[in-house]
Amino acid sequence: MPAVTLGLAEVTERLRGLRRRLNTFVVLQALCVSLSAACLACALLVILGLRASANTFRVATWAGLLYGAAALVGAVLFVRRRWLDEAETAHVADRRAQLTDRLTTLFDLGVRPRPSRLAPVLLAQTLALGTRWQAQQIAPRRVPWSVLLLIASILTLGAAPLVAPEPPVEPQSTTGTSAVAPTHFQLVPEQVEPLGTRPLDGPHAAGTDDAGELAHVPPSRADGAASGAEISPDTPAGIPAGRTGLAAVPDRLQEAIRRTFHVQAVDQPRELAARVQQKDSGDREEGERMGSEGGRHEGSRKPHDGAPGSQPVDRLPPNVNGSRNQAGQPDPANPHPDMDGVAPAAGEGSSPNGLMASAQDGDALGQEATKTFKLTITSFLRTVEQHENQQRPAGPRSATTGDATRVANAPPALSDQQLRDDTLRKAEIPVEYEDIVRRVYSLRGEP
Amino acid sequence: MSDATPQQAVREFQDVFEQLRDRLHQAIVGHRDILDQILVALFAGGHVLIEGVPGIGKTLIVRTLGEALNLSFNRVQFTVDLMPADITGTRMVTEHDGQRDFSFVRGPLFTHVLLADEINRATPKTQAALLEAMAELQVTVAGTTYRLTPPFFVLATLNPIEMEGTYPLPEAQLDRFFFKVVLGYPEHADMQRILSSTTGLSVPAVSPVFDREEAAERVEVLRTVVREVLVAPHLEEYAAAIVRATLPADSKFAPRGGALLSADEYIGRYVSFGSSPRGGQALLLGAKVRALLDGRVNVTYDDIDHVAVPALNHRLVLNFAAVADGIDPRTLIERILHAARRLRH
Repeated sequence: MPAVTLGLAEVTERLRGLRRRLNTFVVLQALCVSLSAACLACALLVILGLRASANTFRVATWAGLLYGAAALVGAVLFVRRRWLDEAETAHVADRRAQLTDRLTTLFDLGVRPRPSRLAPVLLAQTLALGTRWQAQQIAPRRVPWSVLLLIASILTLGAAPLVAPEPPVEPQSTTGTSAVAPTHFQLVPEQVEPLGTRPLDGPHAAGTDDAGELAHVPPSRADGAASGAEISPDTPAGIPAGRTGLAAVPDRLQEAIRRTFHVQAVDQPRELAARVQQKDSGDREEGERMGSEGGRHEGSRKPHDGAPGSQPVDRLPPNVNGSRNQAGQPDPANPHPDMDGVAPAAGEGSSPNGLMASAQDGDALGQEATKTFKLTITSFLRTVEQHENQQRPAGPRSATTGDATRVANAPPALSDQQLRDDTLRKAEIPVEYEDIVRRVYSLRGEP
Repeated sequence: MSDATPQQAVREFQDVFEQLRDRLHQAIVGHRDILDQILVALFAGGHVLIEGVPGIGKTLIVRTLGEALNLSFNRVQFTVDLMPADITGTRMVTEHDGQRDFSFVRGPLFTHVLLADEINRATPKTQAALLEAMAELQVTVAGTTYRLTPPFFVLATLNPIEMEGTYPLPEAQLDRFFFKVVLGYPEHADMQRILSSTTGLSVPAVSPVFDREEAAERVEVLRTVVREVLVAPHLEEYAAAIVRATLPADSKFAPRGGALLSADEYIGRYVSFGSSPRGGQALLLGAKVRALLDGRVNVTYDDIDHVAVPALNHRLVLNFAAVADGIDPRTLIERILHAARRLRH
């Protein structure tokens, strides 16, 4: 039956073309759906990287990885389940072209030749209905819904950075400040609020710019502090030493996301408050130690003991610790480095006139100096409050607050430079804080 | 088909079938589906068991078919005293040129179309005399086998009432019938036409479709065409699954596992024995005829479904629970067909 053989070859060839087309659609479908899932997961990660805490982001990252793996496996299973061999292609063509199993029967005739004189009839009928089962008819070229889904996912991914936290309106700020400074201004009441109820055991203003540093600490690092991990000198900035390799992937990723979109805001006020408390406890210990050493700052290195996960000062990158004096280097804004740590009201921990020095540096260092100055007020307030407590009759706690008393008795460290730059300082400080500063200064004048 | 091209053979089959249908409808009012099923069984090479109450035209159908085919036609009225030799034939003493000798005198079985009227009134011994003829187209008498001339087509009628003094057909004999069709009462309009056409002077005459000399050969050729219809493997699997589904799950004869269809609770509750592989053969052969009638040379799912009830209903042996609950085989087969739809691609 040469005619039948030729006809079967033609049918088989057309079926192969149809099969290629259908399988291509299947692969395309699986690819688009899996890529869409990946894009959506990435968009969610970007949003979480910008807005959520490091813990949330970490969980989301691993969940996203699992999700991606599941999407990949699902795509493979989808392709495997929908992958058509030639017999199944004949089935599909039969069904879609309403050929009443002609193609399937004909294909089987090619596989299992049987003596039937009706085979040419079947072949003729099938070829006569050829227009019904052209590849264009069976699987027309049109944009599958999965491509639309992929486009929508890509758009979602592109729009994800738009939901980054908007910087809150900075109250009466005249200099350019980053989105970090207002955040700290919002947090100041939270920092101040527990002062009336919390015992002040140590010199909180002992030469540290607590919040100033926190303003630059990446959230992941702050979380590292919460979890008790230590910063390794070998790990990049913001990555706790306890998480290296695969475990540090979410931290690196969140850091990269924030760097990419220039967002350095601290994640959550509550989280920041927790970190401030941890820093407070660290500062207390540091103050005690410094008190025992005569209040002299070591100058070369000041480990943040209270924040186990925090990074040593000299390990912090410049953008993270922009206003801080680098370890072992003379601070150009601090002409009296030997007075570090003795000035309770010093905004810059390393300089007794750091309050104004920070304001001066505001021009040079930009936003970092401004943030440092504002947060120094908080520390300063604590010190003042501690001073008030010291003036009260000595109670049972007096023995435990000896170090703080020593620090509070130190002479005021306001320099002439601070006074000269008062105008500049006013421009930096909101009105409500200015009153507080004046009140504090008036208290300092009292015997 | 040797001279005609395949396309011509298919067309001839359709033409013959249509002519036969017209001839039957000239004499028989209504029962279109029943007549089609009888013709399907004829061209598939099977035999038909017609069940119906007396007086609704069973015998008329068979006689009209014989006349339309222009084939030899015999009728045997089965009674309780009918003996096997009465239908198969017997050896008798004959005298030729003064010499006596035993010679075989052929019975009514030796024909193309045989009407076994009220077959359930004969004893099982006589009924069994049909077995060999129906299955193998041969009769063995006194150690001598005689071939029947094809085509051999048995149409047996069965009276469902007056069961007293009857002998229900054994399952083995029932299984040899290709189809079992149930002839019901005609509808009101058909009844009126029957009354008007059979109570006048003129009785409708049926003209034959074939010449007598070539009738048998033509029918055989058409049967060959039917057997050459192509069936895809998945349709064979479908037919096998349907047959397998008629077996009760707890039957000791049913194979364990491998069933494509889950066990139907009705089958397990009401069926004692399911269909034999002959049921599957009937399914596919009947489906092939349906395909040819539709102008196709390949079988489809619908072709199989269409012939499933007449091909399987007499092969299901129901138990007493089915009788008590009024379950008939048709209901069970339709349930199986409904379940089998999920096997379709």
